[in-house]
Amino acid sequence: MQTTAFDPQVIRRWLTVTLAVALVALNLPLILADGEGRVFFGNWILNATSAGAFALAAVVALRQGKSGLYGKAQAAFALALGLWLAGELLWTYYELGLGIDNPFPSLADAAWLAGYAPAAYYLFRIYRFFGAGQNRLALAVSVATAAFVAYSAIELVLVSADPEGDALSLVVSLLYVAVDGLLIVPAVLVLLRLKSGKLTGVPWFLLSISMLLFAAADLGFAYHSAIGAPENDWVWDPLYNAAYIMMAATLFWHNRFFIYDRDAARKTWQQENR
Amino acid sequence: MNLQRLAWKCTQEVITTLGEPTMQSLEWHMSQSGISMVPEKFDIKRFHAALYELMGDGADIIMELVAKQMAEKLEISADYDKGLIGIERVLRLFEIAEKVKG
Repeated sequence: MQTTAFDPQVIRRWLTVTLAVALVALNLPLILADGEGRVFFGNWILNATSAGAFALAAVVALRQGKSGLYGKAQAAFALALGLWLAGELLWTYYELGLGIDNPFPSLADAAWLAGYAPAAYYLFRIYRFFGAGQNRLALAVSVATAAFVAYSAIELVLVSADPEGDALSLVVSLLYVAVDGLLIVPAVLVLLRLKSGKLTGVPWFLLSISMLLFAAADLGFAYHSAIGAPENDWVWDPLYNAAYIMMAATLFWHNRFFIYDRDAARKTWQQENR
Repeated sequence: MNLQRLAWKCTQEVITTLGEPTMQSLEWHMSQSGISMVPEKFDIKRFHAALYELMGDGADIIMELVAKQMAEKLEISADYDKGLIGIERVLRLFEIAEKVKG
């Protein structure tokens, strides 16, 4: 018999409620505020959610160590979240510190874009191990994603308000669309293939959804930038927040169920044998 | 080395590739499900059933890797497993090895 602290069903229920509360509580100020208040909340709430996800990733990477599939994969995920946190902080510095309205593209984008490589590595490592032998499915998802990325890129170029005016913005937007493809392929594969299991269902589902939300927010942001409506960019912040919160939940679950904790195990044993 | 011990050894090797803390954690979850991870008492069918409950389809992947390791150590050719998935491959290896021994 498992104690409630290590019962996946109990933790799943608790996590669902916590996630719902966090999603509403952290996005509400952003939706209710306007003008400068929205810019302030948008920046600092994103900093808080990305910092929370990075802190959990760092704990998991340190506890997991360097060995094995999860050792390397979790270190890569921590690196990705570290780079994305750097991107969020740089954006805040430009927007609130220097007073630049919509600092796109900027050094923040370099940090964000750099984070996609380790994030994709993390997802591909997980899928390559647990999705072995699913070559047809992988090919089908890759082709569909490539088609979607190509369509989105063409659409961005076509709707671009002034393609000759700010070529760098368009190039960076197209880069986001391309690297989002790197997240979408493994995220969809993990979602389709690895959705079952008392221990693995929850983290893999949350991880896949978080990456897809991240990609959706990137595409939305790129679209708004392309049509020259940066004042509406804030609508994508709740999606980024939700993505970071779900990544944090995935890491919390991994820390609880996939890393052996000698003290917790001893406590459980003592409770069961009292 | 008997087959039970070989299955235990290969299972250990495969779950260790996930990382040492994860291997220890899986062993703990197994003990909570009443599955012995001691070589003398190791039952691969019960292990697979418990692992499937925990990891879903991921359990079949782990069993396929276990079967691959076992086939290498038993020096059984790769085409023994045609049309078989997961635990079926391991059980097929048990059958073949028993026949060879008998």
